[in-house]
Amino acid sequence: MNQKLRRAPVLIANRGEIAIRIARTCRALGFPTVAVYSDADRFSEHVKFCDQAFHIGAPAPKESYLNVEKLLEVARLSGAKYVHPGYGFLSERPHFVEACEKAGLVFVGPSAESMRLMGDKITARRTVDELRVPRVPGSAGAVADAKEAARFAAEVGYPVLLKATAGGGGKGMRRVDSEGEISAAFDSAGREALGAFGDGSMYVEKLILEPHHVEIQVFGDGKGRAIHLGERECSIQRRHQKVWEESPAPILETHPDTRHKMFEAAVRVAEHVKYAGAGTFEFIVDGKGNFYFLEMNTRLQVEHPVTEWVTGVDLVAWQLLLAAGELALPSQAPERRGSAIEVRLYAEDPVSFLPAPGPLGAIELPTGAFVRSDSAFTGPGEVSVHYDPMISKVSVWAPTRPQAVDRLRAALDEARVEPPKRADGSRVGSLRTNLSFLRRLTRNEQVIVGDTTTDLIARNPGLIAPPPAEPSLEAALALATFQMLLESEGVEEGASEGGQGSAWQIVARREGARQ
Amino acid sequence: VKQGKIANFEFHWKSFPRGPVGVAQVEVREKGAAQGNLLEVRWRRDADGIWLELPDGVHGFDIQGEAGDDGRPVFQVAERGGAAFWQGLSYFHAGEEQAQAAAGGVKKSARVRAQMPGKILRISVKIGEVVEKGQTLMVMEAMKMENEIRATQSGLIDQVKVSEGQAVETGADLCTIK
Repeated sequence: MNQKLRRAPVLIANRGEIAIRIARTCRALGFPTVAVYSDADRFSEHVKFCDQAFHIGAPAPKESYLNVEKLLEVARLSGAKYVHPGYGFLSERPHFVEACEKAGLVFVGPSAESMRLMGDKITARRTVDELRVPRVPGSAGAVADAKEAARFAAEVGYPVLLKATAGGGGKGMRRVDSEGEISAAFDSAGREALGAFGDGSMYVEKLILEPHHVEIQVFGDGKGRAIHLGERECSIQRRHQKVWEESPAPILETHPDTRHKMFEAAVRVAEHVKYAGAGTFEFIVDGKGNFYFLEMNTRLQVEHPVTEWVTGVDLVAWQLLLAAGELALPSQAPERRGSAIEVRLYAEDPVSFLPAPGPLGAIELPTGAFVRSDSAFTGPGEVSVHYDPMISKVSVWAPTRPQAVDRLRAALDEARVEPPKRADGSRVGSLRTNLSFLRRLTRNEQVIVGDTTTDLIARNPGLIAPPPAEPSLEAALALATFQMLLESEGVEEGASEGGQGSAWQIVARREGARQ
Repeated sequence: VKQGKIANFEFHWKSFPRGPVGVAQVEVREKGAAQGNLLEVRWRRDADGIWLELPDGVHGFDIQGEAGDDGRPVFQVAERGGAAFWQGLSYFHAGEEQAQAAAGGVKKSARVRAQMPGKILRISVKIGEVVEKGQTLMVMEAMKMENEIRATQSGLIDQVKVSEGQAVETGADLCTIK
């Protein structure tokens, strides 16, 4: 029925998997799509996926995906009426919302006002304090310097966390265990925040032990009514960044009262600020079921597919229909069924978790019943050094959590991500992935039973241990055969190259000469 | 005719494998086993690795090579459709391993390389300094984050090849530890 509708185009002010995910729903609903791209993304999948595409500048985000003037110009040229910001980039910048409105565009998301109220961590704290939502003891505002931070830390007791007021995703954040560390941590986190967000101000809060990260998805109509769409637990993290998200939250299965109170608190705040669209209240829950408000994300989250699986709601469709004035927000929270898990497949080292982007060769992402892969990669290409190095999200649904873990394990075993290779099997570029780490997670006893606190990796060094040294017979035979085939090719090619032999021999000689 | 060795397995090739698809006979001897096992192996080579047909089924492996610290190629082998993988595997021809062991009594220095492009913010060590494995050598800014570069082994800082403020590419040598 939607194919007969003539809707106004949606400008997707983002890139990668989320741009494609938004465009998919736009297509289904009959909204034409407009992509934007930087120099680094000229032939990226999201550009090919949309009906129109406009070049907006250099790879550095501030030259392209953060360039408000350019985006507004594209909206004008393309005839777009709606602007969907996705996540990251301009999705939580109130000045962008205002610029869109001034240009006569509809921003798909909350108002600039509720974004200011809830998106900034310090004003958000004031709001939730007024509404008596518990939160972690923290400094009332940004602290002036390391001395003030230390004074506050002494008050609430170590360990404490230093956090950038403008931060997110673990950037500009440091754990401090004693007074001796606070000065260096304050300086380094402040510098990182200044570089990442253009704002180096920091605040301090008490660190909760045995912490679980649980968040409540809400959706508001912008007129003072909101509903929740259940929770997600994102306790499995590395470098303070989520890598595994699921619903229902295992910690709330043993504390159903806490769940109820968290739903109630999130909806109360969302209604108070007349929140419009999809938003997420992040909480920290300790082992006893006490919960503390952390922050609100005034946008669609990376891990929204988890909620889509258990509620059957297409969150992007709700966002677009609300923007178009066509959404009838249900009066009750949708019924939630079964269990869903999402993991983030990153281009990163599986031991240090440092980003390891680079050229991409073969890629096969899992499919099958109740398996969803959200990715911007379909074949050889490049995981760009300029942006977040996520390759894909892989999510699954099953009637129960144990079945969902089984399904995810099987799905991840199907996945393949390889760097490009020369004819002799030598890798090209620096791409590495956390696939082996994700597979180990699905086999970890604590993960399997749902005992997942945010320090899981520290408690389970086996997750990042090197693989066994002794190969299986099959693996050894595969490599032996592979090697023999290389050598037989080397003999044939050698004649034309003047006896140079394989590329490996050339490398070996060059390395030898360098020593 | 041809002999080689990977980890605990010795291979005695009865016929020389050749071409993208084919069949060959190989005797496999596992260390400590009383006798070898004669296998017929069929393969299909592709861009990322190899498929093998063995008496118990078909096994696929992705293989990627990298130059090791001494220049000899080392391989990562990952089973297709499974979680098993191995790193640092090398194929030694008959006699090669002993020759290397004899020549390689002195441990080579380890090069610390940049894992990604970025900028060196601070260097915390000096040439001649003794470092412990895991100690922070320098801090690099990449992907908008400050990342600590740590020592891959204990030893003496032999060379520092970058300076503070310098931009580096992936794979660039940062320093060497002897």
